[in-house]
Amino acid sequence: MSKNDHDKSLSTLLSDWQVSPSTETHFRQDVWNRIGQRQKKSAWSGYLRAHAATAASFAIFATIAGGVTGYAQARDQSQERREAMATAYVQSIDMSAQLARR
Amino acid sequence: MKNLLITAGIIVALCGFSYGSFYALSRDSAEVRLAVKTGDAMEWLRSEFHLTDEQYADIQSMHDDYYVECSIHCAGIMAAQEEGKSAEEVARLETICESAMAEHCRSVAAVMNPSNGARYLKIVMPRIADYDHHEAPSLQINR
Repeated sequence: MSKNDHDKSLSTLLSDWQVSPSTETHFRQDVWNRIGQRQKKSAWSGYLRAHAATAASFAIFATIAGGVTGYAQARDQSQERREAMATAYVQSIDMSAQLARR
Repeated sequence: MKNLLITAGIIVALCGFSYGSFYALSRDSAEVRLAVKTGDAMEWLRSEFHLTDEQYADIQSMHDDYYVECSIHCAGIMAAQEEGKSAEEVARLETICESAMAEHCRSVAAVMNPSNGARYLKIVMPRIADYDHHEAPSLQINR
């Protein structure tokens, strides 16, 4: 087979070849949806990276403030209860105080 | 704006978590809180000063013994007041009563381990020093 004959048969074969792709009706919409979802996911992390120093400062401040407040409140309550119970205890071993309470 | 709100929300949550953690770690033990809730002074003593069962039993027994002594002192003060004895005499009886209570508390502290005993005295002694015998118990009862 000569080169010309080979080209001719290839041309015939290619001209007879038909592709019938499956039709995806929502292909375009699906692509945009996926792009949108990816953008949503990356948007906050991108924002956080852009404001890392400020966000970290506020986070550290909030953690310290929360911890100090929690500790102080627990200590105050504890002290208040201790005062009340110590008074109740002294009264419990003192007869006249018990009589006075009746 | 949405990202700012998300970030602010996370920071607030962090603040709340930190508050809750430190509060939970710093507050009284469950035993102390239960004693306070029920208003049981002896249970409070047990949990606050980490008494062993043996120490608790010893202190309970000492309190029972002291109660008798205290009632004798109180009766003496009441009698002196009702009989119209001099202020000096009443004050003398009150001093005896207060000294006996202070001595009793020192004995209780000696049953505890040294650090808890010292803490016990630091909490209890000012209350004895502030103790007010200057009104007749019989008058207080009538209120």
